[in-house]
Amino acid sequence: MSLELFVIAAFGASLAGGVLGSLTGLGGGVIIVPVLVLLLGVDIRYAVGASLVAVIATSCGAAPGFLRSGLANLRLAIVLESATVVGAMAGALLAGRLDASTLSIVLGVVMIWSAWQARKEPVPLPTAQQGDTLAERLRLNSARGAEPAYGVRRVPHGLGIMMLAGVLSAIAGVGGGILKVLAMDRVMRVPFKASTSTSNLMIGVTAAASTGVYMHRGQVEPLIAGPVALGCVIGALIGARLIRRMDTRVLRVVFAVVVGLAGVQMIVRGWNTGGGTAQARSVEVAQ
Amino acid sequence: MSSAQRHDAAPTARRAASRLLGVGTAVSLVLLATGVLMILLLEHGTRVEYSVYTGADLDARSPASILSAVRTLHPRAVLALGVLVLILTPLARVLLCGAIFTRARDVTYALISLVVGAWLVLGLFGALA
Repeated sequence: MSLELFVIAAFGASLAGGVLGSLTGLGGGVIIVPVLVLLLGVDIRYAVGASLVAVIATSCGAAPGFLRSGLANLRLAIVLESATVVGAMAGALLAGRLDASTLSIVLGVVMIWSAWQARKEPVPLPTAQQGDTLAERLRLNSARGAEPAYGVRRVPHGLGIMMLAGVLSAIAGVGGGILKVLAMDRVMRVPFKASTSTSNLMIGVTAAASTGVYMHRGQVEPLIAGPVALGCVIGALIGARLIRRMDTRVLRVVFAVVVGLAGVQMIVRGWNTGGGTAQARSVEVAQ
Repeated sequence: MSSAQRHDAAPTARRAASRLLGVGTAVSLVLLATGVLMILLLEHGTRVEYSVYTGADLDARSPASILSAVRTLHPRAVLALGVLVLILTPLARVLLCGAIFTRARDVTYALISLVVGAWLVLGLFGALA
């Protein structure tokens, strides 16, 4: 393939990935990996490295706007990041002992089910604006300037799910962003836009830790990761502007479609790569 | 009442994090755009093939080697530096927030930031590989 066509195609797919990734809080991997592998014929190991860089690029591009507007909740992001890190440490010890193919298929099914659930608003809890005692103590309730004001519920449950997200990211290399948004939206009852924006802030951190490992392995090829990162940063800047005007119901549908696609990818990948362990081919779809 | 409750460091941390992420992203954006333009101009008409995995060049595999290679001003080295700046930006955000919470004696958030920052440093500098 000619260099020009490759760079333009990678950039274009990443631009779309950056917009969708910043809107949904999932990063852009769900679009970028299939485009690189299926359309541009890139080996999956290079695509995985580029996908991780895409997640960081999307996070960094959109996060300043989300923080300024008060949509992203910094304290909540910091607390949940810590649980993900603990989970990732446990996952790193478990990786290689579990069958990642089976796990991928199970996760894929769970993702499709989650996508179906996520398309609707959760049933409101009584006293929705009040946070838990732990949320009060950790000052997790709505960031200043956030509209509407909200209380964070079920913090221990949320921390547990974040640990699971860390474990799964380390073993199967997938699901971090999806679980983060779902935990905040469905369990902790953080408003949807605040959930996706806070997830967007967090995914850059979790992806950065993994990217170091992939870079040392040689999976971050500058000529692939460079145009991908450029497209994602610009896409994320666009996404951060779009989200303010976007109807939450539309955003939910976009999220559900992206999560559903990621679920299908997980099932296909698990099916095609059966029999191995996670360390052989940990794959990042949506950190 | 704890000192953390007397002074809320979160708004300061949020503003500083926003600014830092903005600057890191802007620097990276300039480097990436420069690298892409240089590649398109200097390697115009060549073919690329990534269907067989051979791994990135050794000078794109660690922060030290990337910084060393960028002196050559090779387009791939400029791109690698842009990617590296991007990867380091979330780490810088975590460390900056940690410093702000430490200064405000918000022990819980200072400790959390320290643990997350340590994990990131280990990952980025290859200790987890």
